[in-house]
Amino acid sequence: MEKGKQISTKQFVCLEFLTSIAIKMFMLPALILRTVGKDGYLVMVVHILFEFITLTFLLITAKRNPDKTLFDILRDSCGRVLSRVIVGVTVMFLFVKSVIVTGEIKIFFNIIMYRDINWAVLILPLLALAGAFAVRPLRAMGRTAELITPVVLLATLVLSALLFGELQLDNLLPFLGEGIQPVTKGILTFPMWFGDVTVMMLFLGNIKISKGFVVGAYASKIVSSLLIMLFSVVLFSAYANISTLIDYGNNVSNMTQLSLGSQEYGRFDLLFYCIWLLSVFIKFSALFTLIVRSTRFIVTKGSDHLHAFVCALALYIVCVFVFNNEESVFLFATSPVKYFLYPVVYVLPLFLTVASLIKYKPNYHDLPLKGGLKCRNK
Amino acid sequence: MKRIQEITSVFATPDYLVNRNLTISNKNGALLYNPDMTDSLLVSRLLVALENCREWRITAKKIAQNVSSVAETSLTCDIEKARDSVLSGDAIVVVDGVEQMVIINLRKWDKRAIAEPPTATVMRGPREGFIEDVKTNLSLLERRLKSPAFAIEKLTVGRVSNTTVAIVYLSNIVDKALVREVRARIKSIDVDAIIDSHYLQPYLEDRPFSLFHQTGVTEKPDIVASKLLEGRVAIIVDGSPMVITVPFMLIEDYQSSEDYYERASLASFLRIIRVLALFFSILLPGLYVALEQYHYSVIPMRFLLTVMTAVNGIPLSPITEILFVILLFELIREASVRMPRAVGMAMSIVGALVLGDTAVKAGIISSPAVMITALSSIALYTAPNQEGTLTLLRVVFTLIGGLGGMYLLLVGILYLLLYLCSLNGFGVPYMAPFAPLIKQDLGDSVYRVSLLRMDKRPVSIKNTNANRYGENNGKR
Repeated sequence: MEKGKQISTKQFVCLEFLTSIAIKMFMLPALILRTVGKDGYLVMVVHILFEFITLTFLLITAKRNPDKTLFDILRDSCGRVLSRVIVGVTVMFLFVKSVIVTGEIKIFFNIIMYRDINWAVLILPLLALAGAFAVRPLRAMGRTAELITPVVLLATLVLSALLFGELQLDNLLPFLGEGIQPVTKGILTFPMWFGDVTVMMLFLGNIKISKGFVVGAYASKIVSSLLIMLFSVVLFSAYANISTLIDYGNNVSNMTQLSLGSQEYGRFDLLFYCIWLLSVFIKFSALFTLIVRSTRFIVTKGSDHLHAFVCALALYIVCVFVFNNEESVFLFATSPVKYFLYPVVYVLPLFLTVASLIKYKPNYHDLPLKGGLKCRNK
Repeated sequence: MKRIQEITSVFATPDYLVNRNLTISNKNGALLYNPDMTDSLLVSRLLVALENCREWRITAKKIAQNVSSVAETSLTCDIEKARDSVLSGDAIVVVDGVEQMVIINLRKWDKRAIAEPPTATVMRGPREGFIEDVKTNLSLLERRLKSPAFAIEKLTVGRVSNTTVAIVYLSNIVDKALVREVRARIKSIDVDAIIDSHYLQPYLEDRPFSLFHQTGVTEKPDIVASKLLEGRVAIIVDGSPMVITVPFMLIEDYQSSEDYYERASLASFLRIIRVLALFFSILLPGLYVALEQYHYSVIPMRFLLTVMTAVNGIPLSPITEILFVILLFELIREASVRMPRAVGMAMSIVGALVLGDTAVKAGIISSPAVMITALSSIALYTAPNQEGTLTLLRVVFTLIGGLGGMYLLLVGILYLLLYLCSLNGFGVPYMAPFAPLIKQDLGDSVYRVSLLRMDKRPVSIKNTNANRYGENNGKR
C-alpha cells in the first residue's frame, strides 16, 4: 500500500471508465465482424457480461481487504514461489495486451491520421509516457484520470451522437441467422481484447474506499459498455451484409465521416477521436505500470526506474521487431497461446477473492463483542 | 573603548562608522552608529538625552529609560548582536563599568512611496502595492487584518546580507504544521545573501527545478490578506516588494483580486476566458502546425483554402515558420522591456509593424502564422505569473506538433497533465480542486459563486477554523 498516496473512489471510477472504453472501439468490432459476421455483437455482449462478473469479484476483494495489494494477497495465500509464477503468467498476459494496444494505436494513426509513420521512432514517446506513469505513485494516475474523464466522456458522447443516425438495426436480422457456432467461435477467439478488470487489479490495496464505491464502479462500467455497444452495433449494422469489405483501419471513424457528410465541416470528428485516445494512452500506461510492479515483485532487486526501463526496452523490441505488422499481432493474440492466458482474465479475479476470504478470515477471538464485553470465554 | 573595538574590528573599513565619545553620569562612554542608515535628527535628540542623563549609579536600564522618549531601546551583552544592530541602522551606547550595551533604534533610509504595482494593475479595488521595506509591508497587512491572531515571526537569513524575513500568518486559522515546515525550510538556508524574495523560492518548493513555480507571488496586500484568511502563510523579505504565499495551487494564477470586486457572473466569465487563454497560449501554435503539416483533412474546406492560399509560396515549413515568428515576437517583447523609454515607442513600431508586416509582404512568413502567434502571445498575458512557463511550453508544443502531429501532441498533453497532477506543495495538490476533485472548493475556482455563499474556507488547504462567516451573517 502506498501510504498517503492512494487513489480515491472517484478516481477509481474514472479509471474504470477509461480502461473499459479504451481499446474496444478500435479494431475489435471490425475483427469480430470479419470472423463472426453480423451476430458479432453477441460476442461483445457475452464478454462484457464476463467483465461485470470479474468486476464483482474485484470489488469484493477491494472492499474486504482495503490495504492488501494484488501481490500481498498472492504472496500470503500461495507462498513466494507460486505467487511469482502466477504473477509471471500475468506479466505475459499484460505484455500481449500491451502489444495489442500499441498495435492498434499504430494502425489508427498510420491509416487514419497520417500518410505513413515510422513506428520504431514514434513508439518511444509512448513508452516514455508509460514509464513516467509507472515510476510515479498511483495517485498521479488517478488524478490525471479524474481530470480527463469528463473530456473523454464528452468526446465519446459527441461521437455517439454522430453515429446514432447511422444505426440500421434491421441489418442485424435475422437473429443468429448463421447459427450459434460463429458466435461461440468469436467468444473463444477474442478474450485478449477484454479482461479490463485485470489491469484494475493494479489499484487493489491502494484505494481509499468511500461511499459510492460499488455503485460508482458499476455505473462507469455500464456507461462504458453502452457506449462500446453503440459504436460496435453501428459498425455491425452498416457492414452486416458486406463484412468482407471491412479492412484494417476501416473502422468506426469511417462511420463518423459518413455521418458528417461533406468536407465542408472538415473531419473534426478526428479531433474527438484524438481526445478519446487519451483513454487508450491511460490504459496503456496502467498496463505498463502493472507490468513494472509485477516484475519488481518477481525480481525484488533494482529501482522502479530500472524495472521501467527494462520493461520498456522489452516491449519496444517485441512491438518493433517481433510483431512488426498488425497481422502478426492479431494472429498471435488469437492463436492457441490465448488458452494459456485465459486464466488471468477469468480465473485470477475469482482466485483473489476466494484466497483473500480464506487467508484474511477474521479470528473469532479478535471480533468485537456485543454488549461491551471485553473478552470471550474460551 | 574595548567593546567598541571588538565590534568594529571585523569591519573592512570601520572609518565610515561614527564613534563618538561621551560622558554619561561622569563615566566614559561611546556612541557608535552608521550615519548612512540613521536619522540625524534622532541622533541629535539622543545626544541631548544622554547629556541629561545624570544618575548616581548609572546602569544600562537607566540609560534606556532616559532615552526612551527618543526611540525604542533594548539591552544586550552580546557583541555579535550589537554588531548586527549597527549594521541594521541602530545605534549602540557603551559605558565603562556597565556590562550591558544599549541599542537604540535610529533607523532611517529613503524608501519608495506606496504605489500601484506594475505587475498587477486593476480597474477596481485597492491600488496599494508592497515596497522594498519590510516594516511598511507589514503595516500594509496589519491595517487589513487588525486581529490579535495576526502573527509575525522575524528571521534573519544570509551571512552577508542579514536580510530580515518575516513569516506571517493568522494563528487562529493556519495549520501549525505548515508554519513549522515553512520556518524549518527558511532556517535551513545558509547562503551569503538574500537579495529578493525569489531567492527563497527554491527552498520553499518541493521541486525547485520544475518549470512550474510552486509558490504564490504577489505585490498586492489585499491579495496576501485574502490568502492569509484562507489558511496560507506569507513570507515577506526585506528589500523585495514581492511577497511569497504558500501553499500554492495552479488555479491561483488564473484568479485576480478584481474577481472579488466584481459581480460573480462577470468574474466567472473572466476566469473562463483566462483558462481558455491558457489552452490558446500553449496549444494553438502546435495545433496549427500539426493540422497544416499532417492532418489538413480536419480543417473545414473554406478555412483550408484560405490557409493554403496564404501559405502558398512560403519557403519555410510550417514548424520553421511558426518558430521563426515566435522568435520574432520574443525578441520584440524582450527588447521592449529593456530598451530606454525614449526609443521604446519608435522601436516597438519598427519591430511589430515593420518587421511583421514587411516579412508577410516579402513572402517569408504567412499572415495565418503571424495571427496564430499573436493570439497565442496575447493569451499568455492573461496569467502574467505564468508567462515564462507558458512561453517555454508554447515552444515545446510547437516542436512536438511539428515533429509528430496530433499523436505526439496528445502524448505531450498527457505527460504535462501527469506532471502537474504529481506536483504537491506543503501537502496540497497543485491541481486542486480539480485533481483531486474537491467539490466544496469548486465555487472559487474556474467560476466564482456569490460572496454570500463563500462561507467556508478552502478544504484544499488545511486550517483550524473552517467557517468564514458567523451564523447570523446577512440576516435581517
